[in-house]
Amino acid sequence: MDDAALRTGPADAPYWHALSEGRLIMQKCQGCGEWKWPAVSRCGDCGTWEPEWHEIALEGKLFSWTRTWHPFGGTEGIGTPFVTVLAYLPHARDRRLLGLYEGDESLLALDLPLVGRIATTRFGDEDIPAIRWLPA
Amino acid sequence: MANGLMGKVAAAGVGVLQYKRAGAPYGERGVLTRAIVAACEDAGLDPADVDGFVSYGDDHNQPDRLMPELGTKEIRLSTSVWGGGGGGLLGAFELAAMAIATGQCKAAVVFRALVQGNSGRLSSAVMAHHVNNHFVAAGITAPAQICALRAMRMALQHNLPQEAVEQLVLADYYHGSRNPEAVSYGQQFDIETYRKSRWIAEPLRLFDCSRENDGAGAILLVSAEHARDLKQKPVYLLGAATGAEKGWGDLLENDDDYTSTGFEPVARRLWEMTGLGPRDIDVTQLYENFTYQGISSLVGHGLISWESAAEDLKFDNLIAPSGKLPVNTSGGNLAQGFIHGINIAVEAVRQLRGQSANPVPDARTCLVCGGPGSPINSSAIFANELP
Ligand SMILES: [Zn+2]
Repeated sequence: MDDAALRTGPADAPYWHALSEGRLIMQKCQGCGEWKWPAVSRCGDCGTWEPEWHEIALEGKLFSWTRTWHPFGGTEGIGTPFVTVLAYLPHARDRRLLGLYEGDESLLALDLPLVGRIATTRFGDEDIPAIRWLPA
Repeated sequence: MANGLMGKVAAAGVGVLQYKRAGAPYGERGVLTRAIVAACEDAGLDPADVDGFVSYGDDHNQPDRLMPELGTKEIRLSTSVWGGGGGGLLGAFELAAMAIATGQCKAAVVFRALVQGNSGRLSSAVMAHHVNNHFVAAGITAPAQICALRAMRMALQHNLPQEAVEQLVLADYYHGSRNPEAVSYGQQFDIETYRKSRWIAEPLRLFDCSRENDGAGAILLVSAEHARDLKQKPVYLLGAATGAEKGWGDLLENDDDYTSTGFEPVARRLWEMTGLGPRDIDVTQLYENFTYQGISSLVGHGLISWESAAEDLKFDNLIAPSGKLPVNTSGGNLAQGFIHGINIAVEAVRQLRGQSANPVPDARTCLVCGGPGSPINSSAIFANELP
């Protein structure tokens, strides 16, 4: 897979740019106030073009998790087993973001308060900006 | 509500060839050609008269390339359903039936072929549809991991007990053990084997996951009238629906109901267009890419609820001939074999003809659900008599 094929699309380029600078930004429509995710170039709810981006605190709560044991292709740089968390963001109307989990795995439970830090994940020979979720 | 398909079209022939992964003796086109010819022979129709071809899930076999070997006189329908998962399975029947019912073509095959040497691993192909940096950055590169995240939420949000999930695995393997065409034929499946199988991604163990086979399957559809003149007892398509509603789709794990598998709008339309309801279904063929997703499919169609799951998902209740909720009577994707789900549609036809290895007594209707959890999902109801 080439880099371009891995991008979601141009709409979320600001997200990746901010993440690589150590900030989390999410999209909130200036027309209707809705938090949008995945990022869009047009708000399908109110028709506003180019919803605005806002920096928010890297805080979430646990929505779901899995511990991966099988060495799936592309995860060699992480090493198994590892835990992935899907966190919801109270600062962005509970929109959800994925991330690797660091910390006490016995704490994994729904609604566990989380804080994020920004790191990179090795995929192939690329380092991708990434969120690590830790217990708050 | 549209009900223009109700009983207009019937499955008249089925053909399937299944091998171990990377074990097919022919290339993908060779296997597929044999499956289509087998479906035509089953029906008693000259393969040259097939004028419609529909597939799904990114099948690589362009119908025009099949023409020289099938002797195709004319192609009048050549199409495929979008989406990399199994969500298009019954959508392919919907398209073929629409074409036949409107006279656009006369004899259409719905097909899927998968030979690893030609098309690579299915899981890789499915993932190419979904994977991007948001997933990769979190270590997610395979469908099993996404389905595991969703399964974990099902277990935690709905208190779905592991014992209930096991019952589906047991039922699949019981049916498979009695089906000479199943990968698990003749095998005694022990629950300890399941419980001790290695984790893939929690809560999914190896035996929660469908494992790919090489092979091809084809189902020949013609008008109901035409089917009555052919060799086999017609199996009518009562209705088929495909789609997704707002709040569901390719949303970076932001689907409104994360424990759904996306069937609610599809099932709603299916019931409306057929006038049937969950209680009218005699047997169900579930596409269980993973066990939890199969269970969520049952919920999405109203055959069970999350609250009743632990009670309804009992081995005795899930097996033919005695259960009230018989599922996957060939062994399903888990225990019969997995050629991207085409097998379960073949089993629906066989079951309604009375040719299943695990017959459900007096079964008149069969629900088939394709995709679970795909951005687009589809379902259909088949019947051996017109209501
Ligand atoms: Zn808006």
